[in-house]
Amino acid sequence: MNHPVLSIVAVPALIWVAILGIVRVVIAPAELCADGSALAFRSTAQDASNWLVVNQREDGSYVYEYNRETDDFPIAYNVVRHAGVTMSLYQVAGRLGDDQAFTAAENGTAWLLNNMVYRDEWGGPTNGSNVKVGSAALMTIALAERRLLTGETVHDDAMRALGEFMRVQQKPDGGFYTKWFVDTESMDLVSTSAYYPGEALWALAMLHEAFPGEGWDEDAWQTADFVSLRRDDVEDVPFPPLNDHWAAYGFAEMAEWQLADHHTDYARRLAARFSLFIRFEAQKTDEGVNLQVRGNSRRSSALGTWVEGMAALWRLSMSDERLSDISDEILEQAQCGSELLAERQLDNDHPPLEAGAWFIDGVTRMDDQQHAISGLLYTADGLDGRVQREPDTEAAP
Amino acid sequence: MTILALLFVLNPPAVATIWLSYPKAIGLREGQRLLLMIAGAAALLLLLASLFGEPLLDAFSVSDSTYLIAAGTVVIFGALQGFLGFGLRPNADTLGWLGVATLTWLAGPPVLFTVVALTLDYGSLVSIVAIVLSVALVIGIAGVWFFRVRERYGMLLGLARRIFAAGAALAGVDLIRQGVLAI
Repeated sequence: MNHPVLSIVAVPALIWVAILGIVRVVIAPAELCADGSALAFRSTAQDASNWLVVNQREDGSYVYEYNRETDDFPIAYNVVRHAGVTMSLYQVAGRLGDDQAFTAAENGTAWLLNNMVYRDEWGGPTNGSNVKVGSAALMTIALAERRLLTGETVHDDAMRALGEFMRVQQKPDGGFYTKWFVDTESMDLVSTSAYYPGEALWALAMLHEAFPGEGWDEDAWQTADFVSLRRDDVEDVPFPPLNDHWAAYGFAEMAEWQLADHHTDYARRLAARFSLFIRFEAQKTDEGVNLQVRGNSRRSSALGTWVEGMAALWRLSMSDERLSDISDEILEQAQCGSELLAERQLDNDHPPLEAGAWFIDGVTRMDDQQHAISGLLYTADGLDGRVQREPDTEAAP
Repeated sequence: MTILALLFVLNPPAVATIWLSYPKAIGLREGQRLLLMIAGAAALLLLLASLFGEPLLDAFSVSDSTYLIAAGTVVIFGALQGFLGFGLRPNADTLGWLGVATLTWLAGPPVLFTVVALTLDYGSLVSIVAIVLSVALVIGIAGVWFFRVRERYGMLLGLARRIFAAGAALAGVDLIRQGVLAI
């Protein structure tokens, strides 16, 4: 080591090689993003939808969770997720013209309607003990989706009742109380929810689109300001913004309402957050050193939401000039996430409780399929340059 | 900010420190020739980084946004190197190694990574202009220090080197921030 070459060049070079190696492994592993097509993504969404259809129970509920390793169905259910799954089935019916998905969505809607409780002017689906803002919001979106698809107004009263429930639960700062206790006839004044405001935002925007002139837009604006300015503080989000795909849907729905600068600034930061998560996910190989550094792949209900968020923000960026500079990058990341979903889905050679689903640690949950479906459908639309989110009316089964 | 990062990472006082390690070995004419040689070689390497940085990222399947985070990390390591003075006083007695040491600094990984980041931000043309100006500035500042100031203000030189290193560290943090906020 006494030769000058070693001391001047070789030693620093070796140190740098080590540093660059660590950077490659820890900071910048290869991002495994193939270029999936719109056709392939719709096919993946269709297979996932088939899982929901095949595994729907007679009463309209869905298989909530399935463990393929123990062939076990845990006893649990979640009304918010039921409403979300029903919404995604209407989306499949609308975008892929799938009759079976529509029938399953109708059964899911009937289950929700059977579980509604009404007080004064408001109403909401209950699990027996409470009515949650999230359930009401996603049920509203499901019914609004159905209305756009069929043109029928049969559930308009239910939609308004759900909207009134959200109004009742909204706080003066634009946030929301989370639920109403059925037994005690009282509001939960303590708990908060990070995602309910985003869900309510989209639902209120959809209500305004369905019933213009009824003032739903005022509630939506209030919610939009809360989500973009205050929510992360209220929820103590450690690294804001919260990755809220529901808010992305909401702002995309409001794209033609002349959003304020702080809304589009928030949308830009949200896109960056989803992008970071998708890139990180694309770096995972689930083996070797990478597994130690990056951890396991996330379940599709997480990855799917990031893709949903990006697809929604792409639509917003196509309608709002302030975000037009990031349209291509957003769509590229949505495509990357969709491709990961497509690669990780179990194919149709598997039994009905597995085919078309995504499993992590041997378990799939119904919203794994829901979020993947929505993300895949709207990314496929983005790749086709289709900015309109609503179904084509001729798609009605 | 990335343009400023390039100057911080190049760290003119650090380059001057390398030259001041050989006060007796180098004469004025020889020093001028050496300056030109080092500047040319460094600029060539940086130019190549600017032109082929993006294809390299594709080859390694690294997105621009992730690259910025990686570049920021490398720059912070480089700043640490500048702060500690690592590699600044090579134990050699021939003039040639002075060139090698300086070149290693001028076109080392932190600088190369910053140049590619610059290209991603502004494109090759702006990047090339920035490279040429930065290297010229570095050689100018280091040259003035060597030929005019010499060792009279050695402590001041060390302080300036550390200030530039601190600036590089901040630039590295900013690159990471850009990478996190990029899409």
